[in-house]
Amino acid sequence: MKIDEPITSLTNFEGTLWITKDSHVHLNGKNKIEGLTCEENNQITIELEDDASLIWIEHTTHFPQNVTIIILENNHTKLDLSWYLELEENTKLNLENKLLGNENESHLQIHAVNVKASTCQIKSTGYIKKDTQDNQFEEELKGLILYPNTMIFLPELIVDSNKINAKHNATMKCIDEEEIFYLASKGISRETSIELIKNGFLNKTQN
Amino acid sequence: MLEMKHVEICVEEKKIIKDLSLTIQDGEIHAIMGPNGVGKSTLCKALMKSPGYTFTGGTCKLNGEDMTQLSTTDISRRKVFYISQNPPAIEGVTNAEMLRMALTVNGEKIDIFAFNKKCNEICARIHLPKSFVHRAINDGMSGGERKKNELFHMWMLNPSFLILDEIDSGLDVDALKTVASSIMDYYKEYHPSILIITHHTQLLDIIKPDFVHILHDGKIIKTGTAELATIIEKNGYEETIGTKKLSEEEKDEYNENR
Repeated sequence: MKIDEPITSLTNFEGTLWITKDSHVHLNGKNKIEGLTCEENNQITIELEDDASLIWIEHTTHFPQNVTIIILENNHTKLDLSWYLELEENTKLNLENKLLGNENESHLQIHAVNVKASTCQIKSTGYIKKDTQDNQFEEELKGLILYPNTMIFLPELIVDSNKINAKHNATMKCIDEEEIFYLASKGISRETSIELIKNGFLNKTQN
Repeated sequence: MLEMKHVEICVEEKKIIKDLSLTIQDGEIHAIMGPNGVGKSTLCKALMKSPGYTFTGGTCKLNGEDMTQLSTTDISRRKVFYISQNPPAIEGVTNAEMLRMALTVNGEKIDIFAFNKKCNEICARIHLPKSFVHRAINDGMSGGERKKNELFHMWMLNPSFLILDEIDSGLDVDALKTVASSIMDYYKEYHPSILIITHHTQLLDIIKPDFVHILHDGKIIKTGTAELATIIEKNGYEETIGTKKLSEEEKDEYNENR
């Protein structure tokens, strides 16, 4: 769906979003985003209204520079975000998840790998507003480094409420030589092993 | 046939195997036993060309081909299969995906229905849930499950030479029986050569070796039949090594028989 209005309201949306300028999208009901296309320097706000849910699965090889995505959650919302980023070009992404009301559930999982020697910076900020209660926030950032010095994670968690269950972690790893040896011992070449490991990391394995 | 003569192996410049000679004919089962730290696993890893394990002397030939010049991938494609003490987990890479890839690079054409059928048959045979076919390799699996998972790979890839490095480590009695019995079933069906490293005779009660060797100080110092394993179990290494060293005559006799 192409969105070129500054404010849009969607209910039970399912599909891909193509956003051409800074936008604020209100979501109601059960929603599923299966891919986002946007422009450089865009700021996109996705707001989950009360009782709304969003499953957001992103498999992409390209994110424009300096994109800020803000996800607002009001009350009784559920967010399940799984992004698998296979980045070919320089990327600077700023993701903010703000829990503004009560009894929201947020699960964010971002797996990123640089497939070329480009620089990738992902800043992910979780924010839980003051005086809110019974929110759950989980964030996991994982990076697979194929080229040295190309990936930066900036995880941040700002909690202004005492009644929250929140955790976040960020890890990065290089290709493990033990895994390469193991796959080689099954007859698989180094190049193919790296491809298999990368695809596994990006949840692209075909069953 | 695997033929090693006066082999020396270094790990990060430290010589671990000093003068090892061993010939394993097609279809033979050889067990290597020995105290901790004498180089049993080093030998296995060097045979598979694990990084950091280097042949620095002697000759090592697999079916007449110089193994020292082959890569790990090359060795595997010559139907050598290795199970380590602790196979690693690989997040996101499923058994099915890896096996399809391994079979494809070996020149086999994959019929997806036949492949799935074979996977299910083998899982049933080794008492592994079918769901393991599409699970990430060894990820979240217990020690016993990992060993069974490796057996699943073995049956699928159909090797002709097995290198089994302490596959009994971390297994309970029942799991040990299942794993060892599956290897024997495979042996009866395909007659591979087997090089097995173990500390325990329970495993060798099921996988019956033609020869048992004691590795000590970087070389094989004693060779015997399966009975030797029982003697070691009863008397320990020191006594067995101290009192039962092969005479030069016995060594010559063994080498002639080889």
